[in-house]
Amino acid sequence: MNSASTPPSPDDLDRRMGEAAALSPEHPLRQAVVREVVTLGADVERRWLDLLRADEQLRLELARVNPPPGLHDRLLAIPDDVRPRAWWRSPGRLAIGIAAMVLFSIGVVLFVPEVAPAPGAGKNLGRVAVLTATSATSASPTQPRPQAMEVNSSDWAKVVEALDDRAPFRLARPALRGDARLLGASLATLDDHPVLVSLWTDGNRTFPVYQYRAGDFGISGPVERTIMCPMEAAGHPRMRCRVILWSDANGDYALVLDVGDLPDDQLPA
Amino acid sequence: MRDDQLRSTYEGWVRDYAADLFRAAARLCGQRDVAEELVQETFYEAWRSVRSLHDIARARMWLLTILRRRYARWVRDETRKPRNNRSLETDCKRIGGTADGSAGELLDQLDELQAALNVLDDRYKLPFLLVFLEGMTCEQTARFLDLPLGTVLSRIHRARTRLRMSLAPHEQPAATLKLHRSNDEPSDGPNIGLGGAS
Repeated sequence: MNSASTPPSPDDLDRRMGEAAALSPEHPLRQAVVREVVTLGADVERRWLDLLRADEQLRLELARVNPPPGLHDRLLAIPDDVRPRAWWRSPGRLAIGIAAMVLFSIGVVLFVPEVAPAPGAGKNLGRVAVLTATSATSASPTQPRPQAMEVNSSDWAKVVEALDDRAPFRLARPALRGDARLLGASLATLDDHPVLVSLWTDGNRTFPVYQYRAGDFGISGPVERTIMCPMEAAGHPRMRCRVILWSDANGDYALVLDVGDLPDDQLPA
Repeated sequence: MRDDQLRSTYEGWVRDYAADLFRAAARLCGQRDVAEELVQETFYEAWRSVRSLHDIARARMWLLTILRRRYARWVRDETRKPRNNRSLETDCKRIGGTADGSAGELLDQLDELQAALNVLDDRYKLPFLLVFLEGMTCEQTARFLDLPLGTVLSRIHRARTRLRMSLAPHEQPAATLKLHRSNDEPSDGPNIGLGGAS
């Protein structure tokens, strides 16, 4: 806005009146212009009122379009012909799934020949580690971020309330060490299998925990606590991460840490 | 939600938003038959993706987003074809127009408005129609288009100014406004992404 001491040029005033007129009457910018207008005399007041009247006229004329007869009926008939997609088959999730598949394939090519799974873990557990690690690293388009979570809350009950009816398994809070605080959670897919991604912070780091069904990935029985380093082993020194896999009575989990050199007793799981 | 609840939700959207979306589509593209197709495509996509909408309260914005994408695709396809000069109100006349006796004059006047909208760059037309036709606030429009509020305001002002320049011979009350092109930006064609500042 111009200072009150120098009179505004007509062009500048027209521009500011034009911009202010588009705002709602209670908007401070518009109120400031109105206060300015009343100090500038009857001619400027008339221009302001003409502008408002012309705007209303435009609104009326723009609205003079009637929908074609039968449009409502045709729209209402759409559900008779097609069914809604399942939530995990929407185009966005499909793209994320394809991206995860590509990354997974790259990871498998690089990882499988070079890294033997941890004792007793098995090849399928390694697959879960690669999938979660490729999804969670910053190079991945599927990296869990707070702003991308469906539920942004530190309250696990809200996560369950919002997502439980769409999840094909019971959502259970992972048992984490220390003072890990929940940031949010979202349903997603890994290799086309549904998972719950929850995002946590311990004050220093933010890390995702994936709850999955071990059976979906060909893993039989509960998983003993296992730590794997798939990206480091796959030759990506800048994507060093550790995946901690474990099961408890409530579910199967994979926690991905971006940095791989923490001592074991400081790991959050 | 169960399927019958989804259908009920969808039918509510048709009841509440179909007419508004048709008006927006018609004013955007200037052709009734294209607008009808855009609205049907929008609702088809909305129904197919109904499970992915987590906040039902945002349904109107979501539908407008789908419509905007469909419109952008239509503009892209249309630029590859010869220009179609048939306007919205020409189509109105073709299918019989309105019932009252003043329809002829009204349509002529409206035809000028649509003709002016048809040559307006989408950078200006979209925020202008969202505020003046859809009734969104400028702040909502800024969020919807991912633009700063100041950019939205200046684009609306420019849209209004250009429309009035086009309609000037018919417009008596606003004659006291100074209408000039000195501040106009050069048009660089449709910009559906609307990513930059004006």
